[in-house]
Amino acid sequence: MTADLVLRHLEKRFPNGTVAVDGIDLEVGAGELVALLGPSGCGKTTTLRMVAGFEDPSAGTIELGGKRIDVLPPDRRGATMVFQGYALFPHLSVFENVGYGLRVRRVGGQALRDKVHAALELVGLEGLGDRRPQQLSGGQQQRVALARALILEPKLLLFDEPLSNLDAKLREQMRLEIRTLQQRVGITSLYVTHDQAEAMTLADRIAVMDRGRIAQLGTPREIYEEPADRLVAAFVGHANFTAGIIRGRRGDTLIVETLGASRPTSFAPGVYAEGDQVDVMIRPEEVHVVPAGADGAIAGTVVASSFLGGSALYQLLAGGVELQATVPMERGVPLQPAGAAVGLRVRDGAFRAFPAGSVPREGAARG
Amino acid sequence: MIAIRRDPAAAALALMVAAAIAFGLGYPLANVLGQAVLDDLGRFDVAPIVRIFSFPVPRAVVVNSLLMGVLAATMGTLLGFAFALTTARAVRGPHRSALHYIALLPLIAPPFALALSTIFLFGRQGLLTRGLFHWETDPYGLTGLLFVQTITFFPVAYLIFDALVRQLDPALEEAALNLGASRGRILRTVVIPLLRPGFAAAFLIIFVESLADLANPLLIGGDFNVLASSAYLAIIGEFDTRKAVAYSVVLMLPSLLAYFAQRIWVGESSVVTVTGKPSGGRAQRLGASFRVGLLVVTGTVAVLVLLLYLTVLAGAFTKLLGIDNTVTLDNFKFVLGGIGTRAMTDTTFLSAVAAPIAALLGLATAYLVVRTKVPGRTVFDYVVMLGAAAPGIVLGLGILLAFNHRPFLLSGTAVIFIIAFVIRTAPVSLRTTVAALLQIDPSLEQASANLGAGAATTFRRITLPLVRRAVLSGAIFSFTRNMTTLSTIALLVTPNWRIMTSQILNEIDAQRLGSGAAYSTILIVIVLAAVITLNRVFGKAPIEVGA
Ligand SMILES: Nc1ncnc2c1ncn2[C@@H]1O[C@H](COP(=O)(O)OP(=O)(O)O)[C@@H](O)[C@H]1O
Ligand SMILES: [Mg+2]
Repeated sequence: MTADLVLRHLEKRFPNGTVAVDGIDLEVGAGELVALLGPSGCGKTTTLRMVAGFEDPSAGTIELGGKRIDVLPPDRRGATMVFQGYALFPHLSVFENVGYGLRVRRVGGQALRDKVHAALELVGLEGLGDRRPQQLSGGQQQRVALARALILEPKLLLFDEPLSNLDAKLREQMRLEIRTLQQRVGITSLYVTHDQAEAMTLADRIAVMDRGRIAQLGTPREIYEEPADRLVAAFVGHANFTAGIIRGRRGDTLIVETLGASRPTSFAPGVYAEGDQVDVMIRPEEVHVVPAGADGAIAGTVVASSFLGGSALYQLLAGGVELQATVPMERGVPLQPAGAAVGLRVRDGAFRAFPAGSVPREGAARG
Repeated sequence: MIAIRRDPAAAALALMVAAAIAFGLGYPLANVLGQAVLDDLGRFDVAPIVRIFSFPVPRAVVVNSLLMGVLAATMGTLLGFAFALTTARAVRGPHRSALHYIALLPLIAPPFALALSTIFLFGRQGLLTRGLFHWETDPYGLTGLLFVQTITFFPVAYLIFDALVRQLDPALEEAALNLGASRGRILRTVVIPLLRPGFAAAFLIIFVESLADLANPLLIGGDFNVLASSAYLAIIGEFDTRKAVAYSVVLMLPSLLAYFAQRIWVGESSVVTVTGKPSGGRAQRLGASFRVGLLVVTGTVAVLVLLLYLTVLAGAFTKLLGIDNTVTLDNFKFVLGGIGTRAMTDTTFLSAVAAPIAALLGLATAYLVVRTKVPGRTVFDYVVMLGAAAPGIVLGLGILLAFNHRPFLLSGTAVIFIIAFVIRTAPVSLRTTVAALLQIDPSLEQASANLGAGAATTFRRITLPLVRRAVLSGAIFSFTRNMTTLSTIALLVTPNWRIMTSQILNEIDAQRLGSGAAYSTILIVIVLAAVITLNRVFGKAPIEVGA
């Protein structure tokens, strides 16, 4: 994939001293959608606004299609944006909103009408051109914003939390629609969100941001399965952590003693030596709940259990460590009640070690 | 906004606005100050001014002014609050609307109308006092003045409180009720504290308006002289410029202090815009006895307001109301046959020309302040506001002094009236437009830029349509203000251009109260007709206060 959008050492310091973006390097391939994911305040919007031209970078460069665009005014960058509150012009009709960019470029008459209708059709809003934005539902407004950005056939599409104003159900549906549309049109996209599920569904690759830097860049799968640090692990999905001690090394796995046994463990980048303390992560779906006393199982107790529909969520206590487990539900199989003694099994490949450190910051982990 | 910053158009705009205010406002005020601190030979010397205030009469004038300002502001604020509380919490439906509109009525009164009908009703020959009750009364003096000023200015307070009360979230009151607070306690501990900025704003604005008021002190003040009327009389009666300047400078001080204190403490919250999002819930009604008390007060005042208006009409259509109540059209014949028709057309013409200019100056300044990064842009805001903060008589004096000699010899021309009107009313347009601009989410303009529009296109297609209503209401306000102002133009009239308010003053001076009332009636009709037509044509524009 050839790099289309390239951010180099991008930095933003606000006059009040806040360092919102602290040196970002990022390449987005042609037709690729990269999501900037991170807790609130980590600098996602600021990054996006620098690309759009609403903020001047304090340092670094932005290239699009091989040309520097950070030196261009925002109306010349060829990167259109879907705003968080949509920013639809309240005094213009849907048709005029969508056609605005073309009108500015002096496209008129039949050509304008054809293009606007095509754009409305693309987002499934045929026949609503005469409405005012206020007369549309949230999801429809969202589509107008999308059509308005797409109609200009931009080189780059920018999204700033476009779904945050929608309710949960609509959000899930729009995620898929945006993804389908973006792939159909094949347009390079940068997508800001603090919702990890949204990033997972939509993005080819995710850049997890933390305090103005990119903590990890990778496919959703890499981010989830091989998080680069504890923060990423905790921010993307739920992560159980237990303490462990390194007992040896075998090829590219560590042997870590944790939860009462030595276990082969993958590990995040870092320096490890035998006898070191490490933090060991286990995803909830890797914790299997089996009958107490089952062969080789870790002894545990149920603290709380809840039914989630297709699966059940268990809060468990094993050897003084709190663990969360999600287990698929089968019809007719009862939940283990609180206080029940159970056994826990974890696949060997499911452990991941991190250099022992502080507990992930609460606020950051929630986002 | 970056697009705009990079746009040299902003710098050009800043220069144009700066030139306009330097010429129309800075230069005249500099002339007043110049006269205050320079002696006849142009040397720095404040002794002549200081000497004026070594005499007891001018000192009494200062004390009188402050006394009047404080009392009128207190009474006007309380009455306005009572009205707001009544319309918000004590009455509903058609009674509410009736009370609301009656409370706004005094805003469109030309300055003399209320004083005139007060004299008709409560004067030495008063219809009510002498006619009905055979009382010997004398409304001339502080009492009459306060009565008229309270009625004239309480609507300003009412509008401020009305907007604030409407923005109160009923959920807060429900929460207090839910926590066991009584209705009286809710008023005391929730409602009134939340309205505190309103009290400050209303008091300070009425204080400034009361000090600047010229018509009422001239008409009903009797021997109770205040700064504004003294400055006027110094020029008109004694041709003593230095004395007028002395009074003006002293008048400026408390006015500007109060005005800018209001701006700094209260800020934009005193500008009437409806932004509150009701979160559901119902405003709590008041306790029964309190409600009755409120209704008695506001009901009486409402009746009085209506009575005062009807009296103007009655005065216009009778020979001499209270003495000879024969119905007649003579007053109108006299007015329209004389220079009245000229005054009507002249005043309307000048007001109409100045109104859009004032609105545009307000718009240009507001845009500069809110949407550009021009260095020192907030200074523009404060300087333009001087046009409203400075008392009209001082502005008029400045314009008189500035434009009766070279290099800008303009006395007697229409231009000086237009300058006066524009400078005086642009501030309101500025405030309404600033409020409107602040309500436009910057992302709209960014979206426009993002779609490829330059700053000028964005302004024309997005910004302007969205603030159109505010600009328009600024223009309508300017027109009505221009038609009804006396203080600003009192010193500028010459036989070349006739101004209605000044003609009314002449009629009353000549004891022709009937034709004064006829003039006032015509003025009210013109203003109402213009406001209604403009609203019909351009859509509803709210009445604004804040200047
Ligand atoms: N105009 C500004 N001036 C000063 N600080 C700002 C400004 N805009 C954003 N910030 C700060 O920069 C940091 C990153 O903000 P932002 O990019 O909006 O975060 P995100 O979109 O990830 O929530 C935050 O700490 C925020 O408070
Ligand atoms: Mg953000």
